[in-house]
Amino acid sequence: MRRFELAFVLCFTLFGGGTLVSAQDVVDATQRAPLFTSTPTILLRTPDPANLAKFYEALGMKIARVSERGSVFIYHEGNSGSLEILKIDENTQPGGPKTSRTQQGVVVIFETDDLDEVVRRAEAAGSPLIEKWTSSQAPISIYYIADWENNIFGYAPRYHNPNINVP
Amino acid sequence: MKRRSWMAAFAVWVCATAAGAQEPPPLYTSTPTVLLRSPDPEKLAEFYLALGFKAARSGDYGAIIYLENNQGSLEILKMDEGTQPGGAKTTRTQQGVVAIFETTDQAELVRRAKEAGATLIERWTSSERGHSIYYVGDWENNVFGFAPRYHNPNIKVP
Repeated sequence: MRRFELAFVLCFTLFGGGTLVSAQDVVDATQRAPLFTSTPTILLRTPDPANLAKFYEALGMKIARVSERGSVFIYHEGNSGSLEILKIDENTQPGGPKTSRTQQGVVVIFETDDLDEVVRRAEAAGSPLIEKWTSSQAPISIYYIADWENNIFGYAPRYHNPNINVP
Repeated sequence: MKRRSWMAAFAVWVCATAAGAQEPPPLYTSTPTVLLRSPDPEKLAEFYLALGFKAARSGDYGAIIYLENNQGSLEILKMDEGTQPGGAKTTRTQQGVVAIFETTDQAELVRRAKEAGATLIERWTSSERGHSIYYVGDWENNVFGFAPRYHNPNIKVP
């Protein structure tokens, strides 16, 4: 019996593909977790992309292109990521006013090289919410800024989190 | 002679003031961090761990998740007491802000999302490049996109 098993293993290895695959390998392969490698793209939906894009342009973001459908594409410095301002569903509306940064489900944080200038520009552009948060662990502040449709983004100084590798 | 030098000084001052008034725009260099607010972050974090995200730290405050090689983070935190997550969504185009993660295995991600009870799984396929992005709604109807790695050749990603 043992001799038969050995012969089978030898034949399988030599002629059946060259690699033995155990049942555990099969289980591992089907349950192997996908890797999440980056968040390169942020979408922002609005009834009027051209109008809302003016807010982000006022903050100093640079429009790379506008598509035929009116979607506005903004690339970060060195093309390390993008903000795409797109049309929301016809029958839906942006969220209402917010009194703090901790009300919204998803908040994305941008890094910038000039936080003071971002805040100055946001005030000049008529942002409905500018809230400063200061870390208790490090001397770092993040400003949360709402646009004209009450979408909130965070703005942090570049390299604000030493645990994260950024360009 | 004295008058001329005063005029020159005045001209320099005018030019310097004009230049100073026009500050150069700030540079936006990355979007390393995504925050997700929930009334019960500890519970909601279980959804993302089921998708395959790995928590660097977790507790009753929620979970801090780092992407592969620490290239970014997803932080699931407490929402304001008096507020609630958004309601159910029937399409990917209803939410204001949607962050798109890149992943190495979309099929496995979709399998896990179904198994975890995602409230929305919608596939969008680019007519220009042919790749697909899956939009997945979590238990509180927050929608994220999941694209294949290097899905946009115009963007430099790790």
